[in-house]
Amino acid sequence: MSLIPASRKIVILFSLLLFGTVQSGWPQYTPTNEIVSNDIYRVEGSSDTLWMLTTKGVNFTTSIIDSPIVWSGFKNVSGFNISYANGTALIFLQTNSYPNDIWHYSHQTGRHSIISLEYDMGAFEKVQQVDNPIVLLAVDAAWCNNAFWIACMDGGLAKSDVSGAISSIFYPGLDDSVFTFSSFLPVNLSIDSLNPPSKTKRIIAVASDDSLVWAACDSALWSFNPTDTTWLKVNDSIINIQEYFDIEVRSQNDTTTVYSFVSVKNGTDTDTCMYVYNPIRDRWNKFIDNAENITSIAVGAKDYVYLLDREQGDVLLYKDTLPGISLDPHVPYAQYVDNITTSINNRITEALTVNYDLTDINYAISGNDTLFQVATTIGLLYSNNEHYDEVNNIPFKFASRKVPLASDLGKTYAVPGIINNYHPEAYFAYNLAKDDEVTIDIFDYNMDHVVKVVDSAPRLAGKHRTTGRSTDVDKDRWDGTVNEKPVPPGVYFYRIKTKKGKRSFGKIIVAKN
Amino acid sequence: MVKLLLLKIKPVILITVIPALLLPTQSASALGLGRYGGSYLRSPVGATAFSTGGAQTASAGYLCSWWNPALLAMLRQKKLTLGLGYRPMGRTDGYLAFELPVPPRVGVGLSLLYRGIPLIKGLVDEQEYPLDDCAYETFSLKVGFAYLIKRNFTAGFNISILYQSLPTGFEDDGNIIYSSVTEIGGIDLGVQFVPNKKLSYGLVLKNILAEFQWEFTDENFSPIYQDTLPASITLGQELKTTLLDKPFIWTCDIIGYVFNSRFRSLERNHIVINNGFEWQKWKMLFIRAGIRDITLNSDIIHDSGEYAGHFTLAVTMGFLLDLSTALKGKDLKLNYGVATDKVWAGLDQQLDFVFSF
Repeated sequence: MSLIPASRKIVILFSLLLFGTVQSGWPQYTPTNEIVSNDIYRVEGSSDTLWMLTTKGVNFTTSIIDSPIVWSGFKNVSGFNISYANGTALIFLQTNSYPNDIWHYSHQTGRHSIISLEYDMGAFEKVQQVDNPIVLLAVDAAWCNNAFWIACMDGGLAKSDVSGAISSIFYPGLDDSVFTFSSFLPVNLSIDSLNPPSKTKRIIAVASDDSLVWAACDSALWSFNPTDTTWLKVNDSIINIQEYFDIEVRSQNDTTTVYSFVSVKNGTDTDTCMYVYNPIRDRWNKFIDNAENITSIAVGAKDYVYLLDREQGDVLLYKDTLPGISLDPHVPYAQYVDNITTSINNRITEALTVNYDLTDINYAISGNDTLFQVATTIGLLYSNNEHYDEVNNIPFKFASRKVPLASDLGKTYAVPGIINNYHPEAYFAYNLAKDDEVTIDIFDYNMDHVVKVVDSAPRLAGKHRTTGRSTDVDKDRWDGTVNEKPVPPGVYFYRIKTKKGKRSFGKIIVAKN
Repeated sequence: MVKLLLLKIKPVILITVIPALLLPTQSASALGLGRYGGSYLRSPVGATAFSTGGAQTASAGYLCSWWNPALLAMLRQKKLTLGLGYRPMGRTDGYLAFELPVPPRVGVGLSLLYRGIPLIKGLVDEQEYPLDDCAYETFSLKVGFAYLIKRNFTAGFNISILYQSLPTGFEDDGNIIYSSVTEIGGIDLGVQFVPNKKLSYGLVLKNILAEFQWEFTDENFSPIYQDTLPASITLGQELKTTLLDKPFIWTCDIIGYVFNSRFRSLERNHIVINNGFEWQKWKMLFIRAGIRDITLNSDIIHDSGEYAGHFTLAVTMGFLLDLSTALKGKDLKLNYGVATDKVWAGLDQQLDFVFSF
């Protein structure tokens, strides 16, 4: 068996038994022109285009700076990650079977389609040389050299053009072996003399600068050059990295910085922290310690880095002030500036009074335009007007799904309409035409009084509130109990009445123990 | 006549009301009757009951198996009843009853009641997306048996089968998840005493041993709710007299809620008073009226402000139309009743036909 001699630069090319099929018009993805859900868990985009993944589907807009925003979206698109570049979005779909599909949308054509990754499992097993190989799973993508590079766990980088067609896949390993697509076997080799390359390198995250794709594998960082399709493994031995969790790349002023979330060995323990890699200097430095709760990173302008600490519900602002002189690579150097919690709470408090979580952050730069986004479980905060010296006064705007309610108690409902152990509380959505005092009572099927939820409490007219409705979400709610005991299961009726004499009745079902 | 009425009322009031007033209180807003299960069973059944303030325990001419099974032994004819009703908020009733005497001393009967909201629209999920239309439905079957112990004294009982189907959850796409429960074996015990031609008394103990064991449909776990219904003791009275030389009937039910179906004390006691009147001014048309659901509890003394804030009642009216003449001697009566809702959400209505043969 003759193999192309191994070298540090490895190219293994598979042609299309692993092929991308492009399908149009997935019928269950219902288009919509409103925000499908306020429970947003991922945001992505550019300075004028924004994509959101929500629990009910996806939304996007190309007019984020307009007022009002014109939203588009699709219900029931359920993805765990999204990549956006060059007017194209790729959403990596959640699935109970593998390989997973990629939902592809082109702003240029306005069409969506499904990219299905299919491959010969038997042949793939021969390459991996394991009895139960980890199946192909597309998890991330980065845009470089006019193509998407789709990161596949146990599959390398799949190249996809803007139409979604996948032409080839590139596999990081140690051997310069060229594999034909049809059989996953080396060219001109027999199966008996097969000497496969190193085992599958799982790519868990990718990011790109102007010329390279950076791929974080389990315990190694690689760079991939799309022009000559060569791989280069980064030497991170000085750091003693055990595992990579995620990477992000800053590419500004011809300088590339790779931010890596990693676990490192520290004696007998392992620490989770953040390191930066400077490719020009081939140098690693610790950015921050104690990054266990950091779930998202957004690289801003002017050397600023935003980190989302989901545990504490904070967005922390750091300045990347790596000096020119050499530092001990294990000493964190990032300069903490502040958190932006005050700016967030100023905006959220005005809009709603309800508990919420911060779920993701994203910072897009396009020339002089910027867009900073903070995803929450109750809507989206965004700002295209940052004030670094006024970090406590970032003028966030707030986008959320609003269901208009007729004023004067014209339409009311309990949210949700069924209280059970999964949804243990409901609030009452209503709208007043004028400021008034509100009383909310609960009655049973026989119209016997059960409990008074709100007693002559002042409420503002919806037109005086940012939400457009009068509901105080924290106070106008019922948990289906009386004296902390659940009421018997059944249909109950609520009555909202005002001091000025308006009344509205509605139904609420209780089924909890 | 008024003096006669007061003489009859007084001892009843003393026996039932005063103990309720003397009982210690808790917050009325937390311990009203609405706290207890089986609320759908507490509304009157039958257009006659609807129009006469729900006071039928001592005087039910039909639906005896529902109101007082002891009355079954006093029937002289078979009775077939078919009725339906509509109440605010989509509440719908439909009922069917068949009762017959089994000479010389026995009476049997059964009544089947559908009560529910067959179309619940406008529910939303936690993101304010609409849920599918759904329904809340109950079926109640009571099978009664009575025995004529003496010429003016009967006793009876019925056994209930109660069924409920309730929307208890929803899926991400808005589909509704239902749970249902069936209770077999709730018992009502009743006696009827007729001291003279003008006066009748009935005493009924309802919902003994009646309870629902809900097991909510859920793929991850099956939470259980034990819903023990409140039992009730009802003392009913019927007084026949005249008004402007026309027969006039006054009925009164006093319902006490003191313990549950397992004979454990309720957290709070309640007395509910219903009164009804029927004036047989014309041969074919009787006029009916009543006042229903006057609830008494210890708040009257201990927290009068709270009592006043929650005081409600319903005003009822209706009529009986005797269709026998039009139907060439067949004994068919049409009953219609309308009542104000206790919280003034609308009007309750019921209509039924009673065929006696």
